Amino acid sequence: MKDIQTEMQIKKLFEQYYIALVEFSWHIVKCRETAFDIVQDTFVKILEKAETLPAQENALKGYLYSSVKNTSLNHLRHQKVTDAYYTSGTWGEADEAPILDALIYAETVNNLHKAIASLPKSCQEVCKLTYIEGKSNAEAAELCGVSINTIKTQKRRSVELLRHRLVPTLNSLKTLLFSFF
Amino acid sequence: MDTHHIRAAELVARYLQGEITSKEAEELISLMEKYPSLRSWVEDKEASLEKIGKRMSDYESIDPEKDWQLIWDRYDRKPMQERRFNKWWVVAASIIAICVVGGSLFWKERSGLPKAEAQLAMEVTPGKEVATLVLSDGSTVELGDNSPQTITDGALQLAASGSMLDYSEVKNTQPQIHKLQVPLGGTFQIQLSDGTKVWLNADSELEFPSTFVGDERKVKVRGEAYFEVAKDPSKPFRVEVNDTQVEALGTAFNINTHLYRGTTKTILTEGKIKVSSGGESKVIEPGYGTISGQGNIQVGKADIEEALAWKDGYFYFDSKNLREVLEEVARWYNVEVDMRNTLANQKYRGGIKKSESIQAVCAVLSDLTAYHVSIERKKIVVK
Repeated sequence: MKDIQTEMQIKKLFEQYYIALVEFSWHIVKCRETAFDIVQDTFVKILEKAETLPAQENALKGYLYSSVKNTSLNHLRHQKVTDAYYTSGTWGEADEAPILDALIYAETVNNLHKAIASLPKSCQEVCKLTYIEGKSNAEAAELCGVSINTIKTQKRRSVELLRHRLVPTLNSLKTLLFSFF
Repeated sequence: MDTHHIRAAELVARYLQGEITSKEAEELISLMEKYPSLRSWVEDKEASLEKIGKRMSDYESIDPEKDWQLIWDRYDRKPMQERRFNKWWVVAASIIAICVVGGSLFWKERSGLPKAEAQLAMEVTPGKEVATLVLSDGSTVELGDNSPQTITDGALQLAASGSMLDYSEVKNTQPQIHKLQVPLGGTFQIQLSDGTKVWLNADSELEFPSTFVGDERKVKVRGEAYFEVAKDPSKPFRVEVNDTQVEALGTAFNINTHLYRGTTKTILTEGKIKVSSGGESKVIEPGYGTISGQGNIQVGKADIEEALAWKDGYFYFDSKNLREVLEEVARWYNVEVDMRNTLANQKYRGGIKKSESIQAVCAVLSDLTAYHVSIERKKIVVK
């Protein structure tokens, strides 16, 4: 068993990197559920392990990504995927591009998710509306019950990401509606 | 992978979010010389953001706090297993001690050992039609002995025979709350006082009144149950399961809470139902199903075969992964599952007769999957 302080530290790491690690794993295993399972398993193992974690933030992050990478690759091996694309070649150390791509996805998705989650629920909704329905800041402010300046600040922070996030969301919504009605 | 890779990814992320400082930009430019694949990310920012935007939907409905709880529960449970393990060492130690004392005796008996082990495996039999009825005063009646029984609870009398309990003749008595509990490895059928038929699967429970009074018919379920609701438009039939409520008029549907942690799967085979969870509710047409929990309801096309197979005596799985299949098999044969390695998330489709021996079921699963599935004592072992 770990002392409470270490447990709290691990919880913080989880909050900080959970989505980043799941996204990273996804680029290797290409399955949403498996990626979540792998990262959850990784954290259970970290909690169980007796040895102390690296103290330095950078080293910690590297340690987490490496653990998830190894577990993900192990998973692929277990799956007996014979496709050469998934095995040695792509994820070997020789070619850095796939790892770099996965890391970029992981970092950006994690940051964007945090930014959006930090917006108040009602404003998340209103911000979506402003982009789908083209409502003005003033209308959004009124709907939100906050000042125009608040809307502007919040929007500035999430402008780009929301716009890009909404395109696919909107498309998938349309597909969903068409398939049901 | 090293810290430089991570640093490069951090900088590209900051750049894409428009938060990069000029000093960091310089650092990024020098890293781009080292890693040329970064170039395409930086050069077409629009395309990069769009690619990333497509990945965001995977995380739209997740609840990190809940996932942490799952991790924590698994970690918290571990020490107990270790303790159990320690106990086993005590048992093993005492066996060794006995062996030393009675060595010759042990030697004599050894030839009989494999036979005993084979016998242990044989003891695993398919489930039976058994259940326990809990009466209003808390007393229990064991059901499923084939012989017809008469059960008395106050002024109430009812008949039980073999695999079925019948309340349809119960009229004009004070309603009593009864509970029907089906253990691991069992199934049971009940007819309620309004004529509604309910099939309960292994490891499930139904709480119901002996007669329905008032303007609704309300029961509670845990586990998996199939309902054929008797038509009575003036008295809607309501099933409470976890935080989900299913309302039916004249309908047949299946409810299952065994599948996913904390969620309820409902499949409608006939008629119409309304599924509510939290503040939300959805009306479902036959052939559709819902997955509900924590105030969230997802509607989708469902496989009716899945809802009906178990009550007709089949294991049926359509796009279930091996873990889910094994869990269902384990519930029916009342055994444990020992998964030695992480199972691939491959989905399987098929059916197995529930009256088969567990050895036959393991053989089928070994053929069907990339794993070796066998039964060792009271455990299904997956290698």
